[in-house]
Parts: sequence; C-alpha cells; structure tokens
Amino acid sequence: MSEDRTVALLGKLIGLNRSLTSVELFRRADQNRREGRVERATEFVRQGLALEPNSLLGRLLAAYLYVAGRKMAAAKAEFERVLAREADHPRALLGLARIAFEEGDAARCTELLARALERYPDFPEATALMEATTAHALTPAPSVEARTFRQDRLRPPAGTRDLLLLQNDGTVLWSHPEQQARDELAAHLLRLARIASSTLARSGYGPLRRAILDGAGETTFIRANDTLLLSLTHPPGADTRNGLLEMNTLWAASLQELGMAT
Amino acid sequence: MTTSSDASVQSTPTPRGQAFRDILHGLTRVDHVRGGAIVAPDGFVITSELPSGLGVEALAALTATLGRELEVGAAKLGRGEVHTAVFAAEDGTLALGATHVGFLVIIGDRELNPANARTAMRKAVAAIHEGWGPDNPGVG
Repeated sequence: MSEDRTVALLGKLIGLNRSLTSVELFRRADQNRREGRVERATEFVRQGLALEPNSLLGRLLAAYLYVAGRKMAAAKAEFERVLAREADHPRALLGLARIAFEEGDAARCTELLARALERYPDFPEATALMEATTAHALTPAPSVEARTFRQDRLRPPAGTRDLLLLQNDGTVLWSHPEQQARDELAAHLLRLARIASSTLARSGYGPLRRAILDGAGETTFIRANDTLLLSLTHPPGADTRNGLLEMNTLWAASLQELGMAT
Repeated sequence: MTTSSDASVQSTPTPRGQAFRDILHGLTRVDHVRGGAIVAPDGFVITSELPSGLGVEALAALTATLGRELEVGAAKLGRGEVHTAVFAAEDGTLALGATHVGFLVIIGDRELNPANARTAMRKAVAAIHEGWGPDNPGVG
C-alpha cells in the first residue's frame, strides 16, 4: 500500500482529514459556528486541534462551541487553557466572566472583566457586562420597614401562584404561598431584572418596568421599579392583557401595603 | 490582538444563513420594531438588523447573558424551559426568543404592543425549531 493511501486510511480511521491544514479546519469550524451548526463546527475544531493542539484560535473556538452546546464546565476548562498561555486574552476573560455570572459569582465576574478592561479599555462586550453586573450596587436598597401584609390584599388570583415581592437587594418582602425555592427564585428574578434593565438602557429605553416570561410550564408576569420587583406565575400561554391588568392591581396593592402609594 | 470575536473568516452566504436573515427580517417588520439580531449563546452575532448607532457587540453580549439566565434559572428552579420573554421599559420594549441555535432579540419603541411582540417572537422561535431544532441540527 502506498504511503499516501496509508495516511488517507489512517486519517479516515481516526477522523482526520489530512488534506486540510489546521488553519482551513478552523476556518470551516468558524463558518459553521456562524450558522449555528455546532456539531459540524465541533468536528472541524476537533480535527484542527488534532493537528495543532496548542492553537489558541482552536482552543477559543472549542470554548465557544462548548458554550453554544451549553457545556459550561468544558467551556470553562478551554477558556482557562487559553489564559494559561496568554494571561490577558480578552475573549477568554470575557468567556470566563460570563460563566462566573451564570454561576452567581459576581465578584469573580467583575474581577475578570476588570482585568480585560484594564488591558483593553475599548471592549464593548466587557463594558456592557460590567455595567450590568455592577449597576445594582449603585442603587441603594429602599428603607422599607418590615411589616405584616394583609393576606387578602396580596393573594395570588385564582389559577395563579408564586406571588413574590422583592427589594432590589434581594430581601423578600412578601411571598404567597410560602415556597421552598423562594430565595432561589428571588435571586434569579433579580439577576434577570438587572440584565434586562441594562439591555433596555443600552437601547435608550430606561430601566425595566414590566416583563412576561413564556415557558413550557408557566407564564410569569413581572412588574418593577427602581427598588421593588413583583412577580406572579400563571399557567402557560396566559393572556397578555389580563395578566398585565392583574399585575397592575397587585402592584398598586403592594405599594399601598408598603405605605408607598402616591 | 483585538477584542473581536471574529476569527477573520469571510463567510459565504448559505441557504441556512439566508433563512436566519429572513426570519429576523420578518420580525423586524412587525409594527414599531426598530431592529433585532440572532445571537449565539456565547454572544456571537449570527445576523443583525439594527439601527446605526446601537452597538451590536454590547447588545449581543447582554442578549446572550439574558438568554442564558433564562435557561439556567429555569433549570435550577425545575421550571419548564423559557421560550420567549418580553421586557418593557418606559420608552421601549425588548423581546427575546430562546432556540437551540441561539437567541433572537428585537427592540421596539414604546408603541410596540407586548402581545404582538410575544406572538411574533413565538412564531419566529417555532420556525427555527422546525427547521433547525435539536432533532434536526444539520438541515440546510
């Protein structure tokens, strides 16, 4: 058997395409990634890294593709490999910062973003994420006195559940009915509200005031101002108009119970 | 080194890329929508149609973070996947759709009806799921 045929056969057996250079494989990977073809892109990256295991571009593409496939532990490992080679790599720092944010580790997130911005001050994604991460720290929590709410005023309407009233520092002011995952839900809603507020503000619209989250199992309505957030869960596909009207009523009742009604 | 996520590749238009652009274009034709984008979960912009002056990179980074928070929060809380979300401020509205491919986002002015945004986004998400959902990742 000729050497060429042997190499070609071996390439087939181990999934390598020897006729392509690592640069071409990474180019094809990136093109597929651009079109959301994660599986195909991943295969090109795998082949490229087999030829050039230390390629920073290959490692970075691998990290992006793990993120696209929602494999965050593997993505984290690849971003860290890039940083081990190049300590101030901006995309690796941003990638790790986003994972830290997802993990609820705001301190690590801001530390990584600060490192990226120190070296690259003109880095729009890092700037935007830094603003979103730190914005809440600049808004003081309201001095709402602990008080007992009247249950009949703040009760989820028939067919709804999980009424939650929060301060922007995470304090749960009212929850009806009491739920086991109350604090987790509160933390999630606040993170969501902060990012949504930053995104809306970036578009020139101002901070979050209302939201509707449509899920497979439920529809969640949110009402918010600079210091408070109210959420209520409906069955899936709840009507927009009725949901918003119910939130208006509950919002007014919440402000009244807090002595904040105007 | 630059901070760009672009791996300096000139992409050739493909039917799949065109289909994503068409879906986004359909969304941006809804009354009072100013523009939008399709963003991969890592913040990479697959396609965008945004007004000039609105930084696409920053919007994409925030959209991906917002989309991931919806996914991660739902999973942590044992709630069903969030498919679409509408966020409104005093002066405008943002709607987001979550798909296997990435996140769709549109921004609209204060006259954008949340029910219309919700319906349009639901249809766009369904179109992506039908063509390129997890069970059909290689089509196109």
